[in-house]
Amino acid sequence: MVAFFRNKGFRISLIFLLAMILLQGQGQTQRQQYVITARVVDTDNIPVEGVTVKIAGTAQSTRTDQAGVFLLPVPNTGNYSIALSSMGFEIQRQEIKAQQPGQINTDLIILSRNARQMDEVAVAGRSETRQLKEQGFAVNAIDTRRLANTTADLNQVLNRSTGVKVREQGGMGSDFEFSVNGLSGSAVKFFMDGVPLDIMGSAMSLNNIPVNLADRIEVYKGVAPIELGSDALGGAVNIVTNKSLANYLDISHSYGSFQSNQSALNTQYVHHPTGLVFKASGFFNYSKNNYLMRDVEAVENNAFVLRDLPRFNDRYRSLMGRFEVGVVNKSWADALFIGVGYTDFDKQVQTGVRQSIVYGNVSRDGNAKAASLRYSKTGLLADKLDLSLFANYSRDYSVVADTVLRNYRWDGSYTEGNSETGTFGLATVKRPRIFTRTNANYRLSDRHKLSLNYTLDQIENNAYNAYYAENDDMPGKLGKHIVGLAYQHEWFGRWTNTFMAKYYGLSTEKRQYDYGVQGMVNVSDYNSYYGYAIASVYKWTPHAGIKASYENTYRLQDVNEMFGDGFQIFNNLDLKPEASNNMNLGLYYGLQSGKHDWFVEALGTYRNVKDFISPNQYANNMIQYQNLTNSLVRGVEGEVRYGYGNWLSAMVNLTYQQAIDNTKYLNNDPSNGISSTYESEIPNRPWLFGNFDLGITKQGWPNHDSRLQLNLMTHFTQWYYRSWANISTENSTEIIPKQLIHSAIVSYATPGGKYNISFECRNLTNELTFDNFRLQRPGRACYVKLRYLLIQNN
Amino acid sequence: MYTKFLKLALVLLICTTSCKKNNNDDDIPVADDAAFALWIQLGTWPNTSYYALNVKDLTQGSAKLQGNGIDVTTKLNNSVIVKDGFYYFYNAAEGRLGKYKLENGAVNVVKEVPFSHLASLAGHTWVNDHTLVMIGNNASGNAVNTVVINTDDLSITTGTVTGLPERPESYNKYLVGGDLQFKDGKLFFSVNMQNTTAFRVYPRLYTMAVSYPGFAVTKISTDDRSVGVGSTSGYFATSFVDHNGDMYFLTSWNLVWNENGSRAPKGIYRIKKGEDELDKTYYVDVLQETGKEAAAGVFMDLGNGKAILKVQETEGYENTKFGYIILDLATGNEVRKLTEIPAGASGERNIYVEDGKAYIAVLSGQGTDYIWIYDADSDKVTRGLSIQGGYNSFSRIDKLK
Repeated sequence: MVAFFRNKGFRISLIFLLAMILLQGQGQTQRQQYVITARVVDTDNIPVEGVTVKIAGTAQSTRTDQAGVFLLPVPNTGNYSIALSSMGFEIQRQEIKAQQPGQINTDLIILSRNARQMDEVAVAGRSETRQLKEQGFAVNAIDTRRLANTTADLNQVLNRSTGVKVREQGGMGSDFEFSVNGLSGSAVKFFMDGVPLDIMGSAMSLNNIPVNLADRIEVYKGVAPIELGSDALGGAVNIVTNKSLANYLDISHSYGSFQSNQSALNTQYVHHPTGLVFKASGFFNYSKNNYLMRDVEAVENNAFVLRDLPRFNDRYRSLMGRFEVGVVNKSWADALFIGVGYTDFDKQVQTGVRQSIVYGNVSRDGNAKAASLRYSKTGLLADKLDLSLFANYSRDYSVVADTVLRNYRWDGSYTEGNSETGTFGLATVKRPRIFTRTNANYRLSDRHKLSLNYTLDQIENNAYNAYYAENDDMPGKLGKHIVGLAYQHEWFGRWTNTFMAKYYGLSTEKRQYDYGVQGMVNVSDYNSYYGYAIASVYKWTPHAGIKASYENTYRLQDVNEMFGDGFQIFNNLDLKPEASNNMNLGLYYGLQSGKHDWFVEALGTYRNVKDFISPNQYANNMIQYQNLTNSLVRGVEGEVRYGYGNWLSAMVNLTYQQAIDNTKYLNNDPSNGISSTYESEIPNRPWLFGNFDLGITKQGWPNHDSRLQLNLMTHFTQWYYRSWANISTENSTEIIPKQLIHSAIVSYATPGGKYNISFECRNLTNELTFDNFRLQRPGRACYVKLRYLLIQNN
Repeated sequence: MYTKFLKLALVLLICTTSCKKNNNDDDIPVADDAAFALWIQLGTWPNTSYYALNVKDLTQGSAKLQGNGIDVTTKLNNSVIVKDGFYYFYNAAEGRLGKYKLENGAVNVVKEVPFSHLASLAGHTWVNDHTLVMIGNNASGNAVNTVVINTDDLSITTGTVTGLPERPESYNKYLVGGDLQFKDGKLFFSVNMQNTTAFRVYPRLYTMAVSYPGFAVTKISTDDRSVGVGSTSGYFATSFVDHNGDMYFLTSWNLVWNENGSRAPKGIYRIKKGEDELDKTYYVDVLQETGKEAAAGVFMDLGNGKAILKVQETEGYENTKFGYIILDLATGNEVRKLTEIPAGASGERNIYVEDGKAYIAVLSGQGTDYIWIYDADSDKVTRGLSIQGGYNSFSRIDKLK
């Protein structure tokens, strides 16, 4: 057994980082660094994002950012020949002069549109997002900047993309289940700029991050790049924030139904003479969530009656603030930032797993503090090595307060009863966490690339009931060491393969009472697992291709799942990680003809998951976590996008998933015989859902350069079984009915997009909507949002 | 072009929505109302479902759950109390007491009333055919609450037991026994004293005689040989009054009772007819007597001086297979083990007893499961109804008619 080494990986990363900085500092005395930079605009002086800029005769390239700016470090002064290319534009070659950092003048490069495609072809939709879709990975890439004027949170945005199903239990801030191709819960991991989202605390989740804070969201299905360094079983969601070097201020506030208020701030100031960058972002969310529950039980004259009543214990408030300061474009660092962050949330809880279990005084609140350091440098070792490092220390605190012995009804009345959740007191969790991530990319040649990732994620879990105790005298520690190695090569300029290998090291440690020695003892373990993956894409034209990916991956065990609590949860040192074989096969095709712009993609998915970890309950209520079930999820999904000129856009997508219980032997134990649900469809899962979006934009109305936009959105979910199909009698079979939800947004932007106002109405027809186990969701809700956006391009 | 696109979208949507069969349209036969309900559990959390399968005869034929299981998951669980074809269920989480009937392949609500007086149902007994008494902890666990239910109209009278034995210091809760029986016009049950932070019980069993309907403790007797409580919560059945009027109960819910972490032995006690105290001459240490640990817990009267006891195939908590033993009640001696019945998994209350016969539902793990019938008069075991297998558990067998 390998000893658990607290902070060791963190120290290694820090030392590595410092060494790199020092080495680079020494190098500086020998070799002066220069940069080439420019701002790329179209003939209307609109910045063009996503333009590929390549230095002729080298592999060195980059892309323009949101402000149209690119920046490339070069070793020598003098002129460089660059080529600029972007779909819809003529390829442009020109000379550009290298400049010294700190004395930069940003040139202007004007790209001409491709005559055949005319100047009405919308460019934004084909930038990074489409390029991502053309990779070997099965990925949804969503350009969220187009949605920045809406009041949506990221869950609502993602729920409109293929293969993704978000099931929220209520209104703003409610718990949700996020599934990608049928796998959900801990099978899907969330990241922001490649860093796990939850290191910023529990408030940092997809259901309350305003859309303004993200530039783009990537949903990796089944197979994720090693750079994310995760033990994701079913996929990964990566939120990409604004990386441009422009000064900007994006501030917004929305107000709407159920006393909902949402504010967001995202700003950056770049001091070009020194290269200092200050970044700040934050949000504040508040809602009473007092939407009307229809036909719920109240008590009148000591009898149950059905009434329409508002939710009364569902207020939600969250805030986040994050500040970063650093330098960019130094010879020794492309970027070096230190940052601090704080999140806080306070949430009332209205129901248990069913809406007939009503809570009137349960709340959950918490906060988290984080400090981070990030460093990146490209072009090391003769322009072959790119390096990025990230380190974070955070303390997350949350408490579920259940401190009254009452039984509530929907009318707010109560009688004396049990503790509402069944766990009386203040269930408190404190989690100090160290996270470090190192990514290195080494270009062997133009078409061959090696990547290495090392991630250390160490969490100490202190869980105790603060009503009775002051701390956890049996904390658990979990350390994940994930090493990923990828090799990517490109054949014939058409076929790109990425081969990946992963090592998962899991160190676990827990303090436990031992009856044998009648005292506390430390128990620990270390386990290793190996995974592998391949992602491949073959492009038979620049905008049509076929892609396939495969991964053998794991979701590592949790400390409590392995060691239990010594009292009511047995330990299980034989517990294995959840394992999955994931396969994707996809096609995409893009076509432009005159003003018509089509993009079609289709994907088939296969997930063979073994050894799901579930609690197994023994007769005396004792529990042990075991690898009880397997499942097989197969699906097909497709999306068609269409744009006409710059005034019409439409999208339709549809996802079909079939989730089968693949547990041949009951509880995976052959002595139990063949399970009766073997090869049955798993209940309580939507199996068919889709979206239809229609956007109409009127440019230059009512005055020049302003923009009026109308979006209509429809979300469809087919009925599904609440429990196992074909077992129950017809009269006792419960289904979650079909749902069709329409929403509309009208937004208006003044010239340059500086002032924006939008009106949004969700669930226009006030349809009764449900989610898990028939929990009712909000009816019609309307919002108005004001947004001020200022971008200052150098 | 746009209209073409819309058409394409529409066609795609209609095509795929209509592709899948809507199984609701299939004709699923509705089982006739029948004499017995066999409760079957399927699936793994969070998709655990309970079904009641109506069967006409436990002694012969075959049954199949598929298409015939009444899904009871959202309305009931297997802690229901059954009498005269009605189910009574206390849903503590929802604060609801209800009376239900299985009809036309579904659970029909006869009546539901708001009720939250018991933290959970620990035990129940019938005072007469229309009067159900239930006991359980109060919400904070420092008292034992009672409810008397008129099952005709679900009118309820709530109360609290007075005169409970004092709890020693640091033992903050009563662990209330489900070994509740009505004998000689009084109620009898036991409590343990529980230290909920150390997960330990005080090493003494307190058994009480309690007045009815006053719910005042009139007599306390103690014993230190075993500490635990039985359960007649509905899930289990661990006590009874036999035809002689003697009450027997099994302590089957046994927690750690000393500092070295061991659990108290499971034992059978007796309170004789006309007596208010434990019969000090009678104690059966189940493990010593039978070599097997009692399961938690089925201990049922066969009616002819014998009882059937469910035991674990292996000691400790991580057990999944069970066996069955016949005991002579008067002596407390083992008559024999029912070795004809294959050791198998089962649910909480997988035995139904009637007319000296025990009907035992056992999961074989072999594809087909059976109801095994032990006839106390002939001392023979026969194989009865067969059920297409592969289930998680047989939780209950209830007589509905």
